[in-house]
Amino acid sequence: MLKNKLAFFGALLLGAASCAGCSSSSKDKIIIRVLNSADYIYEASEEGVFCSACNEYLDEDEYTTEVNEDGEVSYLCKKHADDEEAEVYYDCDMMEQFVRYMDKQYEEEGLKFDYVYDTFDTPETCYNEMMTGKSNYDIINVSDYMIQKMITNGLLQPLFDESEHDQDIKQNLKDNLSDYLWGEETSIYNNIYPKKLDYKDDDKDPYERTKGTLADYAVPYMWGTVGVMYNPAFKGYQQFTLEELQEKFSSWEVLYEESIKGSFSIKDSVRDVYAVSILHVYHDEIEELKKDYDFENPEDLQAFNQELTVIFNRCDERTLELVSADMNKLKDNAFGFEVDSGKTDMVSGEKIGANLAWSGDATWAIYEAQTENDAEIYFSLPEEGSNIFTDSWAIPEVSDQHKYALDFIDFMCEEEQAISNMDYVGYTSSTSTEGVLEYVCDYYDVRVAMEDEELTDEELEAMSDPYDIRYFFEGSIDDAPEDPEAYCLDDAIIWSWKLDTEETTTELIDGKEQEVPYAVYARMLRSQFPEASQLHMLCMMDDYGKDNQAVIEMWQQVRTNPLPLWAIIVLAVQAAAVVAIVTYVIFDRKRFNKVKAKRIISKQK
Amino acid sequence: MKFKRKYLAIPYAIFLSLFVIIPIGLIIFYAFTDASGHLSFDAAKNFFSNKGNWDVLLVSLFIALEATALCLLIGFPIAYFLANKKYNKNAVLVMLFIMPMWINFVLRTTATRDILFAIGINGGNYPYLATLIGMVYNYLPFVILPLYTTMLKLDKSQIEACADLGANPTQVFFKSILPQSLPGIISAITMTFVPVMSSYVISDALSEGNIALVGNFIYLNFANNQWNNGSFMAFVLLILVAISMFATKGEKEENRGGLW
Repeated sequence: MLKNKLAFFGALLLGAASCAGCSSSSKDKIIIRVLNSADYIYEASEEGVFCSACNEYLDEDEYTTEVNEDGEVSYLCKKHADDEEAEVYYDCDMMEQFVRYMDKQYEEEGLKFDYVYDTFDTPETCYNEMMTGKSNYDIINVSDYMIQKMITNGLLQPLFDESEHDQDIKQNLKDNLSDYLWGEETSIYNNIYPKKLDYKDDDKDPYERTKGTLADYAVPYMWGTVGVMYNPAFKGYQQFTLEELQEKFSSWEVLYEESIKGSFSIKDSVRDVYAVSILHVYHDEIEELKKDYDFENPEDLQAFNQELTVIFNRCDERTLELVSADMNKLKDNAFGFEVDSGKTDMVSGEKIGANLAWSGDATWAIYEAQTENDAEIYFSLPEEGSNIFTDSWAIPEVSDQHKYALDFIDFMCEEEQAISNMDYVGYTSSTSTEGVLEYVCDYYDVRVAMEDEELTDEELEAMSDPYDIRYFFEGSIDDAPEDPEAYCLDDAIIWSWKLDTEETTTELIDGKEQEVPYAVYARMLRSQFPEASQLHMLCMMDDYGKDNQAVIEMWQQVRTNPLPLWAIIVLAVQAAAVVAIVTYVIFDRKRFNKVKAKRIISKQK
Repeated sequence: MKFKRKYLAIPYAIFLSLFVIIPIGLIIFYAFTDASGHLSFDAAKNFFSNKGNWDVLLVSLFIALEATALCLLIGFPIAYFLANKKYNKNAVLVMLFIMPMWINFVLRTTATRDILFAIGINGGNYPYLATLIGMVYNYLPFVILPLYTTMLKLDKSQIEACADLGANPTQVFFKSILPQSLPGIISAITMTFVPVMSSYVISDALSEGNIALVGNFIYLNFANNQWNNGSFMAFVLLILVAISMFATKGEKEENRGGLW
C-alpha cells in the first residue's frame, strides 16, 4: 500500500518537474527549440508598449492602438501624439517577437508557434550535449570552430535545400549579411572547410572539401577580434606617454616586455592565448612571407591571408613545443589568467593596466570606464594580426523542423532584430544593411552628432578622422580603399571623432545626466570594427581536430607551476615536526608504561 | 503491508543511488575506457606521463594540507573558548563565526579578492598566500562547528583530575583536552581537506589563475570533451578521499562530533 503511495508521490513529483520545464504549450503549437549562449539575444526588461520619448513602458490608458488595412498594429502615445521622433512599439523578448512573426507568417496555414529557449556557458558544453544525443534543438548558436567540429562529426544539417522557401531565404540572407563574412566566394565563411575526421600528420590537406564550407551549414550572428585593451592612467604606466603606449601596444611583443611585467591579465582560454603565441612564435617566418606579396594588390592580400591562416592554424608537435615555451614566457610576464574578471578589472582601473580582450568586451569596457570612472581605455589590434571569431546559427542534424529553423535564422538576421540584438549584447552584428550602418553612424559619426550645429563640411572634416569600414558594409577584403579622400556615409566610411577630440555630449546614464566626451566613441569604433588596413592579418582559428588532446595537455602544463622551493621546505619541516611528535608520543607512552609496570611491581612487593 | 521503520530510509536510498553510487560508477567507467567505450588504460597513461598532472597534484596537496593545518590552528582555540560558557553565554558568538556561511561563497570570494588587493596581497604577486587566506576564510566555519560540538561534550572532571594530579597546563592540554577532542578534529579535517583539494573557484579568483588545483584540470578536461582523462583525474581524487577516510577510520561513529 505504502509502496503504491510512494510511487504515486514520485510520479507526481516527476510530473511537476517535467511540467515546469515546458512552457505553456498546447498540442497544436509548433515548438521551436533554441540553444544559445547566455545573454546573447535581446531580452526586454518588461513586456508591453514602450514609448521612446517617455523612456518608459506605458499603462493601458496612456496609448491608443490602431490597426490598418493590412492588419498591422501601431501604437500612439497620448503624451507624445504630435512628437514625430517618438517611437512607440510593442516591446518583448526576441523569442516572443519571433513567435509573433511566425504566427503571422503562417497565418494562412493556420499554424501556431511556441518556443523553448535554453542557454549554455561554453560551446564545449553545447557540443557535449549534442554528442550525448539527448538534445533535440532546432537551432543552436556556437563559435566558428565548434561549427567546424560539428560538421566533421556529422552533427549539423546543411542549411539550404533546393526548395523555393530555402532558396528565397538564402537570397535574403545574402542581401542582409555582410559579404565580408558570408555568401560570396571571397567571404570568410565560404573559405573554411571542416577538418577530416582522422587526418594524418603528413597529410597535405587536413580538410574535407567535399562536405562544403562553413557557409553551407552556418550563418554568422556576431563577430569580433582578439586584441589588447589598455588603460594609460594605470599607475604602472605612468612613466610612459600616451604615444609611447600606443606604439607599444600596437604589437604583441609588448606582452613579453619586462617593462609591463605583472600589469596585464590574459584569458584563461587556450584558443585566445594560442592566437597570441603562434603569431609570436612564427613572427620571423610571417615577416619573410610578407616580402613575397604586393600589398597594393587586392588579390595578393587575399592570397597572403590564406597563407597566414595556414601558419596560424599549425598545431603539430614541434609547433606545440614552441608555443608551450612561448606561453610560459607570456604567463611569467602576466599578472594572471582571468575567466571573466578582466573587463570589470579594467573598468575599475586599479588592478590591471591591460587585458587580452575580445573586441566586444573591450567596447563595453571602454564605455563603462569612461562613464563610471572617467577613465580612458584604448583597444588595440596588434599589427602582427590576430584571431577573428564569429558565432553562428546552425541547425542540428536531429532537428526535424528545418523549414522553421531556417525562418528563425532569417528572422534573426533581419535589420531590426540585428540592431536590437547588437544594442543589447554589445558585439558587432553580421548584418550589414543600410539600417545597421545608420545605427552605427548614430553612435560614431561626427556628422550625425553635429547635425543640429549647422557646421560647414570643412569644419566637420576638421573634427573628424575618416574610418573605413566599407569592407564590412560593402564587400570583402579586396575592397581596399581606393580614394580615401572621397569618403561619405553611403560608402561606409565613417567620419569618426578624432581620438583626442575635446568635444563632449550629455547622456542620460542611470537616470542622471552626465557629460560624456565624444572621444569615447572614437575608441569604441576602433574596437568594434578592425581597420580596413588590418584585414589581411586577421585569421580564423580552426578547431584543433585530432590534436585537441595534445593542445589541452600543453595548456595544462602551461597552467601549472611546479611547487616552489619554499613550499617544499615548508612541507619538509612540517613532515619532520609530525615525525618528531609521533616519536615523542611513542617514547612517552613507553616510559609511562615502564613507570606503571614498576609501580605495579612495587605494589605487589 | 505493515509500515516498517526501514521504509523511512527509502528516500535516502534513492538519493544515494542517484547522486552518489551511479555517478561514481560512471566516473570509474569513463576512467577506464576510451572514447569508443572499450576497456583502455590510456587515460591512466596520459595522467601519469604528464608532468603537469604531478605538479597540480602536489600543489593541490600542499594547499589542502596547509589550509587544513591553518584552519585547525585558528579554529581549535576559538572552538575551545566558544564552548566555554564563561565567554560565550548564549551561543551568540558561535552564530557570529558561522554567519559568513550565510552569504554565497562566490560573492564572498569576490569581496575577499578586493580586500586582499587593497592591503597589497594580490594573487599576481602572492598567489599562494592569497589562496590560503581565501581557503582558510571559507573553510574555517567547517572546522569550528564540529570542534565546537565536541568541546561542548568535554569531560570537565577529567581535566580537573588531570590538573589535581599535578599535570601542568601543557600536559593537561596534551593528555586530556586534545585526546578528548580528537573526534572533532578528525571530522574537521575531512570537512576541509578534501573540499579544498577539489575546489577551484577560490583559487582561480584569488590567485589570479596562477594556481591550478586538481578541480581546475578536471573541469578543463570535461569542458574540452576529454571525458576519459577528466574521469581518471576524478578517480585519482576519489582514491585520495578513500585514503583519508581509511586513515581516520579508527574512530567509532558515535564518538564523532560534528553536525554532519
